[in-house]
Amino acid sequence: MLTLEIIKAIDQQVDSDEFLQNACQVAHLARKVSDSQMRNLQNIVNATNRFSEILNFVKSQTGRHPKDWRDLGPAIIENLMRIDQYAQKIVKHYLKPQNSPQCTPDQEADCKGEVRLRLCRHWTKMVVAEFLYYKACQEARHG
Amino acid sequence: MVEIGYLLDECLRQLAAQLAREVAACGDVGQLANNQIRKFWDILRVEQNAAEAYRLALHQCKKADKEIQQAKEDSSKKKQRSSKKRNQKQSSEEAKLRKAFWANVADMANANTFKTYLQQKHLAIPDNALLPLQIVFAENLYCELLYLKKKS
Repeated sequence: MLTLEIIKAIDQQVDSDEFLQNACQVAHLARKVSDSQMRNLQNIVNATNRFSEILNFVKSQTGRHPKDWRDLGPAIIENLMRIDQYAQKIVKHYLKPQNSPQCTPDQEADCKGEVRLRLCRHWTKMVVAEFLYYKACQEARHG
Repeated sequence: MVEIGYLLDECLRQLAAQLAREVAACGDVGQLANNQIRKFWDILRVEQNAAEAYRLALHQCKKADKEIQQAKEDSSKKKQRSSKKRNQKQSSEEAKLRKAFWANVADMANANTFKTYLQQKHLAIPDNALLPLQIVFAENLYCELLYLKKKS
């Protein structure tokens, strides 16, 4: 169960320029990828409770479609690992022993997992939105 | 469906990543992923048969061992070109990596060794929850190898 402070910290992270910029960069790298592949990514991120399942999807797509995912795959992995660090920071900051003395290491770990998934969902939503917008703009430009 | 918590998920992911990295030096990881590890994963996932997956891993381990023995015998023969000897040495090294890799994979397909491994990581798992975790491990390994194939 996430505390209100942690939810606020997640929102702050999502609102940061860095988060948005990273999402835009990745969306532009995805220009060769089909809409359905990006939708699949978003569906998996929204449906799963396992971070490794998201990584698995990106890694297997990169292995199967090396041309389209050559730059995109490593960029997504890099960003997911960055999100992992953000989650670590948030949890370390808000679950200090003095703030939550009853919190066990297992609960702390589960909390980190939950924060990480929420950040992933927000980030993927931004990537897919930017990707679709970029594609629509491109299509409009080329008639 | 078993709920896989953060620690367990991380543990299985890191284990698969480590094994994939170690075996990556031995040539065609794409083939290893698509032929053998895919089969290993399918046996666990589709047939739900950890014993059969264990046998497959053991068989691959023995196959690699035979290759090592063969390379040893060949290298003991005299009158060989140095380039051929170099190739034999390289293939022997690759077979050693594959043997170690499959020995580790077999350990993960074996309920007792897998459970012991998880206990060492302070993760207590009931017997009936082991198979879903083995499936997750195999999936992680397959995807990791596919990704390494792209890198190589």
